[in-house]
Amino acid sequence: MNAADQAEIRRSIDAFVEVAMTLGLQPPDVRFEIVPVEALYELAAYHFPERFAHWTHGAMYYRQKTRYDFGLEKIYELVLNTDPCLAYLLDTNSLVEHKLVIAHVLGHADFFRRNVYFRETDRHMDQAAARHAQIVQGFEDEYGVERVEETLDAALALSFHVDPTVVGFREKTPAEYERERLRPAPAPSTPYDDLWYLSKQPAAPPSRPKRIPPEPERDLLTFLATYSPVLEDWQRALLYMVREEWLYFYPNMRTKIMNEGYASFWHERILENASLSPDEHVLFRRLHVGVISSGQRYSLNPYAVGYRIWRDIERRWEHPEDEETWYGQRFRREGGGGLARVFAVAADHRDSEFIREFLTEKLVEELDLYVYGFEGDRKRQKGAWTVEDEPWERVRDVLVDEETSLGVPSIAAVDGDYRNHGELLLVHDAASNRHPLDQDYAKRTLALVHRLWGKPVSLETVVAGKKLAVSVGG
Amino acid sequence: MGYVPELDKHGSGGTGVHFELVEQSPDLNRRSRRDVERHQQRVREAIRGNLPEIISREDVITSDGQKLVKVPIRGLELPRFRFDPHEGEQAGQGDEGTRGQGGTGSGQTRPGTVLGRSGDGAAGSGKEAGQQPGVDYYEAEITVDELVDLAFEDLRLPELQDKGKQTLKAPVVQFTTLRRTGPQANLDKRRTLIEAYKRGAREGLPGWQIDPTQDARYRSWEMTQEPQRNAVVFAMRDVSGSMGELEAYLCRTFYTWMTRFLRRTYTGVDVVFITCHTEAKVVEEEEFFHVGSSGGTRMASAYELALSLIQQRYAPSDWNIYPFLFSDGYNWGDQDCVELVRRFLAVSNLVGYGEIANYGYWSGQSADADTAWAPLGRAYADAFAKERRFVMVRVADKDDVWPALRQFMGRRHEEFVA
Repeated sequence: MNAADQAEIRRSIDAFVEVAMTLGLQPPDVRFEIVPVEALYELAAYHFPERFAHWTHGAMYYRQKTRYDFGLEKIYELVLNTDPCLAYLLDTNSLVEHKLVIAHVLGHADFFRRNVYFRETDRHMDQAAARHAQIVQGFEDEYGVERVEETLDAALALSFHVDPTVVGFREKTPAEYERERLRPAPAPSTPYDDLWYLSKQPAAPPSRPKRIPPEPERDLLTFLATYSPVLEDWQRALLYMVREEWLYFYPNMRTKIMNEGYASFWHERILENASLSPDEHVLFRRLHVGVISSGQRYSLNPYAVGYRIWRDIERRWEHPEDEETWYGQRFRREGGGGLARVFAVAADHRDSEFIREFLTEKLVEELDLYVYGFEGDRKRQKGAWTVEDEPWERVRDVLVDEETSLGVPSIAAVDGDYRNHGELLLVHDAASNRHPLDQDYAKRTLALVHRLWGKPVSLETVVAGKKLAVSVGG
Repeated sequence: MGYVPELDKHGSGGTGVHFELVEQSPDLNRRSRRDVERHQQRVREAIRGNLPEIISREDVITSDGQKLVKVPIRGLELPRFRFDPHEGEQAGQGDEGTRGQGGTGSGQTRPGTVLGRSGDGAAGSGKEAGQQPGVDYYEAEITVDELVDLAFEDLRLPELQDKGKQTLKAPVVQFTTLRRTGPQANLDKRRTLIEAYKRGAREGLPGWQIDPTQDARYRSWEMTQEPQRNAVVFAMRDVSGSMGELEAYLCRTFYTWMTRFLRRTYTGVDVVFITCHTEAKVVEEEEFFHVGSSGGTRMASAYELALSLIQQRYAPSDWNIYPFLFSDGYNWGDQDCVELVRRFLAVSNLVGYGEIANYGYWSGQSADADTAWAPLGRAYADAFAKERRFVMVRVADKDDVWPALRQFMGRRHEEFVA
């Protein structure tokens, strides 16, 4: 990149930050870095400047880079929710592309700071990931690349089964849990004491065998790291590392549509208010339309859906239409509060809530959203994916459901001494999930759980009203 | 809408706006290299795991070796607990393709629109299959030659003998020697270090002191002459009425891979195709793989024809001979065949018999069909129970071809059980 272009980009950053602040954005510090193609695609595959080595990263890099090389896909930018935010721009971007991307990044940065789900994010995760990378390398030297890979495979397969609300779980040993559980209830001081303790577990008789885990545990990584009878300490450490890094990604996953839509909403607004030349404006418009136009057939385009919803929120709160008045006088909006509403929603919603609350019939139609299903021989996977004839509410509900579960079945470790033999029983909460489990994948994943547990591992689920159990290692 | 929550401080910088721009220089030593290599290694392992399926693919069989074939691989992804993608509804968003199908200008995808198909033969291009929900689909590109290497790398051809016209030799380049001069690319670092160490010891110098003019050693090559090895395969096939399209395909798969395998070992491989019902004749490859027609079956004719060809053209002193017959095992004159196979054993490296288990055709056979040989097979089994150079395989469908090939080519003496 020549010096003139670099100076121009530098000027744009300053100018756009000023525009953004005037419009009400409050992005945190951002460090922009212009990187070559290979570096950007590595970042896209590894997510952090330094991360532990694993073949899944290599596979991701290879796939995305190949698609880039064939001109099928291009990643313009990448931004990390760190302190300062790290934004990476592709050095082959044109000047206008750079400008759009910079404005887009400012939107993301503001969202990271504004949205409540990012409150708990460790903003030095880039450093933690670098530390993990070093530790993993040390383990590889000490215990062998293969054993580290085997453990990481299993840990990464379960990385979605982490409960962010589990805090301090690991500090307690099974014995401490047991002591807590068996602690006798305080002696009654009045005859009505039992009323006060209705919500509490009555103390169990000491003769009952102790349970592992004390309660069904959905945080499978923590559970296995705590209770597995076969893992060595370095393997437990790997599980915790995977878990810690996953905690960073989780809010991103829960706000993907909002975040991408928000960034697209703001890059448009910032560039409209920045002094672009007419030629640049045409180019920027063309790029922008590319970002927010089409769907992906089997899934939706989060940029497009998010962008349209944010626009709709602003419009409806800025200029309430007659359609809003059927709520009656009580909910009638005065108008003029468009951007305030945008900021408020950005602060305390996540995708599932965002969709449920703001996806309207008109938007479903305009965005060409639909539900589809597989018709044909399901066992042999021979058939056609067909768009179904469903009312728009169904489309919204399916989407809300997808954004709630994030495609992860609700599975808990229930018994660590199953069949009185130290086996592990996992139970799938089929009642709370709309779809049945993929049994082939479940079997393969169980094999990995078995690797971590050492003894036979079973999974119970319900398919078509019938209880079904899959076991591995028995 | 008064509710605007206080902004998170977002780390130390907080309110002070601070934006910087840096440019990273290209770094050729990418960290992804190791992980990409490991990924590729897993792809090859997966190909090896899927070989039974891959080797019977039509494009793989008909490819000429150098050409890249696309091999679909499943099970490469890291598994996880997930929902069955083929059950229930999922949300999607239309693209240009889906909107076109409705035939309206409204810009909406209509109910009933087919987004894509999956299943045998129906899965359009690989790219499309890769997009479908929940499809763990990876299309590896590989040449058939590489595939042959992968498939047979652990197998040795049994009963291999150096035959052939000793005068006909092929030049082979091999790096075998070391020299004091040579191109830098051929520098043998290990030997150079050893030389430096030895010289240091001789001269009483401590440690390693490398003097390139004295210590450098370069790998160098020699042209050697390798004797040419020739092999001839007599691919014989029953084309009586009982052999249908599937049988033809199974034969073809088997012979194609047998030939490829033999080509790895031998400099020249001739394949003689012989079809047989009651009479045998030498045919072209194309005709050989066509579906059978007429009724009667006398396999002895094929053996007789092959034996006469050996006499005329393929002297056992010059040729490694591999006769192989595919039949459904219902034949006139089983004992004739046994005698002819005996004559073959005297001149051949390995004699093979493949039985196509055609259950549907012979009603009443299915009960013990898994274990029982047809009459011809039974006759062979009785006669050659102790003969390690006679191989029998059974093939019922595509999946059996691979084990049969392994049995034929991977035979070691201790494994032999009649």
